Amino acid sequence: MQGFMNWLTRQRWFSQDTYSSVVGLVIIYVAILTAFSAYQGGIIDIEWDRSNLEIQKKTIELTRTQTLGEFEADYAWAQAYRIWYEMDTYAYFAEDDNVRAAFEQARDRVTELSPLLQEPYFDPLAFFPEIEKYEVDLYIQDMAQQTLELKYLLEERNVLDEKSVIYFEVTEMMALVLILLGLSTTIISNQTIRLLILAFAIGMSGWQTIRFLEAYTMPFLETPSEAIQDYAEGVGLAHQLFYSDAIDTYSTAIDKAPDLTDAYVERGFAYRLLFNETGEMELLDQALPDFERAVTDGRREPRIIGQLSELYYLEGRFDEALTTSQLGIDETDDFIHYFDKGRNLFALGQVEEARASYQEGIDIAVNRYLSLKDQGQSPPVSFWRSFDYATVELDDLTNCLTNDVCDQTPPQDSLPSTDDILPTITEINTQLKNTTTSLEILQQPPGDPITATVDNIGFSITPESAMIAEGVFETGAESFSVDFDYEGFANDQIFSAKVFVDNRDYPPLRQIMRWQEGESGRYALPLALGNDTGNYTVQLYLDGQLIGQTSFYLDFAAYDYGDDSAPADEDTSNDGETETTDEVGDESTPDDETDDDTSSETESES
Amino acid sequence: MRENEQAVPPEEADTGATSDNAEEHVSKFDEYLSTFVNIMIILVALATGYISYQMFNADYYEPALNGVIADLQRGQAEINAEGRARQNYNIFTYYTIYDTVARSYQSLDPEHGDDLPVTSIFLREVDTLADSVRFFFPGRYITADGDYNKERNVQELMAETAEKTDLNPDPYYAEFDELTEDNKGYLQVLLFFGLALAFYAFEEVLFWKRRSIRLFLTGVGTVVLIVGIVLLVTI
Repeated sequence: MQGFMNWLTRQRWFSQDTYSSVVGLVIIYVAILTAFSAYQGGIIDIEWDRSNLEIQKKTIELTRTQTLGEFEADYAWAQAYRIWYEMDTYAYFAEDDNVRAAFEQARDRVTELSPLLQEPYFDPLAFFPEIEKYEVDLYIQDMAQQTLELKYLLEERNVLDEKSVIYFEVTEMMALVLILLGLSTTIISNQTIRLLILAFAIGMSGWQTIRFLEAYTMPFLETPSEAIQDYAEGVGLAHQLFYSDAIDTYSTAIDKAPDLTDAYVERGFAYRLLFNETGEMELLDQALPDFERAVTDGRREPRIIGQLSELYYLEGRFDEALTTSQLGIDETDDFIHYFDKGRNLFALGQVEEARASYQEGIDIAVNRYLSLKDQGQSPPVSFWRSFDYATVELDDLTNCLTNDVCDQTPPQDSLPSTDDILPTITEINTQLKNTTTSLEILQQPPGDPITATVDNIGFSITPESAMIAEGVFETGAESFSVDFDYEGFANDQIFSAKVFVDNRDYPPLRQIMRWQEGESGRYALPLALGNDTGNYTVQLYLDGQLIGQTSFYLDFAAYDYGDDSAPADEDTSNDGETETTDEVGDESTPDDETDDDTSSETESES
Repeated sequence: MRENEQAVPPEEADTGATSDNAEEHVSKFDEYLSTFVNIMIILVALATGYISYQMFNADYYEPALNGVIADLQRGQAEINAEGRARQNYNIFTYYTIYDTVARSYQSLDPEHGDDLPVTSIFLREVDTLADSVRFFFPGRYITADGDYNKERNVQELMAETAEKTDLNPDPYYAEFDELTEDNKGYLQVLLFFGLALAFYAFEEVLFWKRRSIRLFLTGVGTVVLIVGIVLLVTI
């Protein structure tokens, strides 16, 4: 440094003494760097404000799209189509030709009131409008696109944030250097300290120059508009249950934008849902890397971690399933991860650990519910779905262990022996069902076990011809009921029945009442058979505690809507005949979907 | 500024930079150059102050905020209007169905006697139902074809709200765009002025005999300053 100073002195380039001259040069450089840094910082701040405004505008647009779309779809389905259905039913049952004609005209008039009841969404001969397609065209696809665009705007703002912070720090550091250099030429006279300050200033300037260049060259996330459009189209296809097409479209989006994590997530779910339809195990193999990628990319939402854990579980990779559910617990402490962990521990044969995990999950859920209740709030619908899903998984596991039906479970040979885990699974499953029902209906955790029992659960259906096999019915029956013997009931207790179709809660058929039928006897619980084909499970609860459940299969395809033959008047009861599963499966049962697990199956619990 | 440099420092004998006797002292030219640079520095400082003031005046936060508020209000008004019009449309749906049933039945069998089947009696009553429902939605939106002009209903409700509330964010957003562009322009001008200042400052620290370099730096600084001024004028 001293040599350089001497060289400068000999050259006589500057008007002041050599040290001051070098300081002057450094000050000039620092000033230039500060000017550029302040300029870039200013520009970035303006861009940040612009980006922020775009985010606010996009959020408003998204809310508007969703709300107006839901308005329109709600009207189309719950009003226009419902009235069409009503008029059509009146016309069908009208005894007078003129009356029928009047209702038919009214029915046809409704089709003019909503696009849902017109081409391409509705063919009156098909009876059901394609509401999903209508929703997709109306707002679902737009929403998917806008949501992803919003995410990219947020990402862009994050990059602007980072750049802004660096420019700010560079400017600040340069200001500090300027102050030090100024002090060194005015107040500080010690030559060593002055040289040290100069060296520090030069070093700091170099470092800040590098940081400035780092911020300047930091790339912005480019919004992959075409890939986002493909992704949104995929969401629309998946909404219409066209999972194969959705998978292809998501793949196209991924080809165009390999970092589009949302496309991996949704493709993974499409594979998973297609597996539910087809049972092809290779679909799980294809779903797995998509969810692994999503988690690696930092997506740690409960639904994604939960799905990954479940896929490992279904493939029999229990250790990885357990690690993933533990990751979920570490990330969000959501009760569903404790249920996942418990399920994985069951599969590993660690019964007590599984019980403890389920218990912890239940405690967290109950505390969350009570805390929300205290604040006058309610949990989201997903709260109940999570409980339902946990019970469905244990039902499936039980079915695999007892009936060898292992469609939605790990390979049977990978599971521990039945005797080791089944009693605890049954106990936990009942506890889960009691907790969710008690919380939902009584708004409190389950009380002491009740002693009431039900027995001889069966069905009554009119006309008799609507029963096409044991525990298999067709839609359009005049009346249908679940019959059972009961004992130990007390008037004013809360009796409820929850109905699940293909393992999903089906609220339209849910029943709840204050019991007024006395202590014991036989009761017929009327259920309205709708038009949804599937495997129905009816769970009976008293004061929020499970006392029995039964299953039947409803087949819409078997129902001849245009059949004018008069229905029979007499009731047909098949009480107590639904215990056997072997009788189901003859030619009158539904196609491949009706195997042992869709057959009628009754259990009583006390 | 350079008066204290008129006495040649003892070192210059060693440097050889001052061998020409004609350049032993600061010339008039050097004084003019120095004065010019000083004046330019003052001008840059004043211009920088002016730009800072302009930037302060070109505050784009307010239009951004007003724009978002108007946008929110528009969204809210649109949702409210759509909801109210939808409610009207729901009632109209009942009305038109009852009306269709009643009219079609009357036209099909106007002379039905008192021995009507139960469903037919119900149909006769439907006409009354249609009349009753008629009071629960605004009839002005029924068209000559018997349809309900929901769009007009929505637009009129929106217009009604717009009488009392600002629902137009576009002018604010346009103002925001304009002001942010102005601010970017001012920042660019400041950058040019800063660079000009740096050239002038560099010129000032050089030994007075490095005339050609000083001239060059002054020239470049002045060109950069002029570019900045041109940019400023175009904002």
